[in-house]
Amino acid sequence: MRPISRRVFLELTGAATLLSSGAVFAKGVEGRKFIFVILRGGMDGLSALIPDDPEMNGLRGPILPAVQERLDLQNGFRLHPSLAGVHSLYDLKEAAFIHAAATPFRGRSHFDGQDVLETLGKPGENSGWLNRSLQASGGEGLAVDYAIPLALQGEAPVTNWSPPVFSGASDELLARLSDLYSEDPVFSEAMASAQMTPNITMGRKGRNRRKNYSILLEAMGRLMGAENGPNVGMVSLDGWDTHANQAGDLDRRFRQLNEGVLALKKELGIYWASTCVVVCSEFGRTAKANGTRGTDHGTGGLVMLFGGSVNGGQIYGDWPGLRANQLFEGRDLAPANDIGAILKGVLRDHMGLDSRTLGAYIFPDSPRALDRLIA
Amino acid sequence: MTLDAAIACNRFGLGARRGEIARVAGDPAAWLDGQLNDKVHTAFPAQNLRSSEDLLVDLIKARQQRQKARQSNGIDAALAKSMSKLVRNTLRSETHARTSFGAMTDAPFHERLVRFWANHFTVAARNPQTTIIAGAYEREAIRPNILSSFTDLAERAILHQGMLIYLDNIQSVGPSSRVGKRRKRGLNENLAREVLELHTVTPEAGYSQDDVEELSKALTGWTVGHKRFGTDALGKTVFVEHIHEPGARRVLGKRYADSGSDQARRILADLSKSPHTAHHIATKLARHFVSDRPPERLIKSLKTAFLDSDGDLKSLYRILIDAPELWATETVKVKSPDELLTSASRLLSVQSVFAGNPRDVFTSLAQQPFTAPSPAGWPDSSDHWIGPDALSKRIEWANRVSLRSSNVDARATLKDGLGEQVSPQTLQAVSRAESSSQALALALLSPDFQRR
Repeated sequence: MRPISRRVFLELTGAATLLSSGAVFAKGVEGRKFIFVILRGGMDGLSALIPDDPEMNGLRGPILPAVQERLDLQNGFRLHPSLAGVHSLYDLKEAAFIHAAATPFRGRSHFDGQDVLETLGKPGENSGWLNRSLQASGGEGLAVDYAIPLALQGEAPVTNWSPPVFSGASDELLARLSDLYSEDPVFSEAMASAQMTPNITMGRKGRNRRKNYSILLEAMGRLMGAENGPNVGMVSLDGWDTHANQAGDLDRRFRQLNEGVLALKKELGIYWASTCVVVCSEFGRTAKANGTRGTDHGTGGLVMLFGGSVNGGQIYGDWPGLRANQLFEGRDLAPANDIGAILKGVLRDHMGLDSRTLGAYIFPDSPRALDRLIA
Repeated sequence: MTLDAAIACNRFGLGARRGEIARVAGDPAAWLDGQLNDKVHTAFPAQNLRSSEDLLVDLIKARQQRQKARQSNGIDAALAKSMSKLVRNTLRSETHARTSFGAMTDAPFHERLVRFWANHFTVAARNPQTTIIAGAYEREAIRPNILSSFTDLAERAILHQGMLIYLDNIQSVGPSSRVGKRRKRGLNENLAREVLELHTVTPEAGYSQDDVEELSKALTGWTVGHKRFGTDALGKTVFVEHIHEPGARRVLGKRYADSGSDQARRILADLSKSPHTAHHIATKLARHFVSDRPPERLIKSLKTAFLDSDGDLKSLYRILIDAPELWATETVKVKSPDELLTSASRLLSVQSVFAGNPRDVFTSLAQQPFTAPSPAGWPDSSDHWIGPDALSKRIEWANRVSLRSSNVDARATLKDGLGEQVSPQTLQAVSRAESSSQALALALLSPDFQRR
């Protein structure tokens, strides 16, 4: 574990006792930034980016927002009304989408699907692709999460930060603790870099907010946007498994995600111009609504790219269509685009990783990289 | 001698309860040895917990109901909810039983060993089936077998419903078996791979992909009773001949004739007795009890005992009790969150340590029981558990506990818990604290209490 910049923690937490100098991430001041956001549970891509497809009404009619409320991208697709900020990024050419995207996983289990999405390796691979890419690019990874997620596990140095669950300790206790730890290298080093929080993250109280997408993405922006902040980050956003009454639930989730992406842009400041954020889920959901106004585990999902580095304002990849004979196993949006190929293209063109390393080591089982995603 | 008593309680045990150090001071080694007793595991409060078989049958029934509702296009949201409630409540009861037993057991060395082996043979909650069964697995496959031989323990663990489900053996079908030929279904190598890599010989043994495939073929047929196998052993571990891959197998150079269910058993037994396995287990035990860089001498002596006794686990525990490395004055290992919470519960109370919200405490410290991140189990190294975020979360937790436990004499508590293991610096810091709650927070966060 490596320490996170002390100053960042000070800013995150409002105030704190100054302890001995915090170390910094090895790279990143001038470098490009890459952020992977995993939406756990199977995000319903067909609700986020809705095709102007005549089949849509029959498949989904009552659980989608009205056509006139959808945000038109003028290319046959419209965004969910709660994604207005994302729409504005698209207009600024800082957002792009790939629909009907999937990993090679064709099962229905979230956990197995997430394992595949996070490793993307040969069978038996137990390191994450994001960690393997860090080994190639150098630098350190940061997870905004309670533990290091699988995609970031491996040889390269990674650390994590998570929002406090309970309120922080007093400055007085922290001062006494650092004194007590002074003779103990292990604890004094951890203490020096931890920079304890006297209050709830960013002034927003309450344990129910610790899973709020917007807070998590804002925190990621602060941590990565700091001077000497890390250049690779990952955030897990849970709760996308919408089996029943999904309209209201998704409305709220998209709103938080929308807010979070805007907060990320704001916090990254000048770094936004050299940032690429990839957002995706382990799989999409069934094309047709189920009997409980929700959707079940599907296959093709939506990949969203954000950031100044993105060759945005476009939708990439193939669109397989929604007619009954076009659906995968008669029920899911077909997997027309490969997530590994997308990530390969992004890491090659954005992070400058060479094709051979990408092909041999990072994504050994993925097809050819998708081109032109990066400006 | 009282230093030894404190070490027996804190390094071998799960942290001293009030009065425990004094109680064992007469003969700490004898106290530890006395826990290597088969009667101990029966003390686990499982009265209100259900067997793997019953739990799996419940789950199968709940699924069938949901399926029916779905087919008739009925509303299944309520059914789905009741299923997830069944799963959640089971995990909660199992966690509660494990937590309270850890806090009160008089045989904490025995309990530490149970947890060590449950972690070695990890079955973690990752879907409804494994979530509902993870606790029962620990009670049925691990707890009663930790005083037996490694061979027995390994077989009980690997062929338990929990492991067969967790590592996908229930999906594995011999390609040339009757079912395999008819349905064109095939092998799932997951269990075989982890048995070789994690449970027994490790890659040091130099096994090949062929060995993995051969073992996985031998393991086909071992599954969980299901209607479609025409068996009435619903929810039980069963061996189903017509999904077993016929033929002799060759694993690590040795040939095993096709003896049905016994074929996999014989391979597992040989793997369990391998010198590579002996080395692996010796190293893991030494790492757990001494330090992240365990002393070679101890590894060697454990390994020799393992091989000489055919993997008799009590012999290994006795080597640990006799090993000077375990009685060293210096404490090196940082407690995992589970160890920290258990030792604090033993010293204070479960109620004050979890303050009515176990899930938040476990989440925050990032070690919820029965949810290890991979088949390799939870990491057993200090480095892993004491990063910056981890320390922040420990401080928040201790702060919360201390604010809810006024009237606790922190100095006395620290002496109860650590005896002669407490350092003068810590005692001084605690004595000088400005309030009783600050004193307790400092005690819980002191390097002395954070290590074992």
